[in-house]
Amino acid sequence: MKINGGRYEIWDGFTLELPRSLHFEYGNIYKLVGGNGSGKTSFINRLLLPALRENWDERYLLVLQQQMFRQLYVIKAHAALSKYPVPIRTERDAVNYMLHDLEQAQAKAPRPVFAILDESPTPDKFISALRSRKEPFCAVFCSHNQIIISDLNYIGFEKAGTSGSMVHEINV
Amino acid sequence: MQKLPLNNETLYCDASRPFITQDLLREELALYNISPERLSFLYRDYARITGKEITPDSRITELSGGQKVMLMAMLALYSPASSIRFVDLHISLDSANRELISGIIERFAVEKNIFLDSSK
Repeated sequence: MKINGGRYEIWDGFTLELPRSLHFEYGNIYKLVGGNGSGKTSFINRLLLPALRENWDERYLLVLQQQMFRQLYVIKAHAALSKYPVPIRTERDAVNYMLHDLEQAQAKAPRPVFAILDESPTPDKFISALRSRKEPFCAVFCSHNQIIISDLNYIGFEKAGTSGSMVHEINV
Repeated sequence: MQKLPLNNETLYCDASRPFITQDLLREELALYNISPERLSFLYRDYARITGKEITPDSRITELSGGQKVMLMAMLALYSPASSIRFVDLHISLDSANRELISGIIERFAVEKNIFLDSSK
């Protein structure tokens, strides 16, 4: 999956500039790195998700939104309709349900998994669950907390004043 | 359950759901009862800290996750609430903003009871 290089106007007065195209490949985990307001969530919502929605049925798309309390209602409703036996009260319950749903969906029709975890409290749990499965997966996450996950690729968001950020791969 | 007297009520601020409303800042402001004078200090401080100018007509959906949490915290601190409980306040904040908000909380702690909690 590729996001072309270029200058993207995200909001009026806020742009993301990609000097080079970014490639997201199965088998890799990408951490988005940058301060508050550098455009990580905007990149996910305005560039990555629309690109992934093309040919959406080719993959299982797993998205955990930042400050996901509204998404929590949707997950609760989905779980109720699926007759999931455990009550969903917290983000952690929702994470468990999403992993359960992934299990069920992959048992019916295995597909590669693309996971996006925007400030999820437990990206390590998701990623270790994905690593234990046999389908190929790609994960993109951001977090300001100390999380130990091996073999990461980094994409940096460098603020250029308040008008936008430069987005590029970081070689570690 | 014992009912707490009115002056012991605590403003509860959960950083995983920083705003009740979903559109203009003026709608969220209606919940906080902040005087116009204190509001102008809040706008000035917020712009100094985040680099983001806000007005009552700002769309809160255009703030980043961390900027939302910073604004929620400042709305609570500048409000007349004498007791505030923050939950997971630091979760969406980068290290610079964690330090900044800790400094602001320290400043307000002389006039308010402030509790920092974690949902874990």
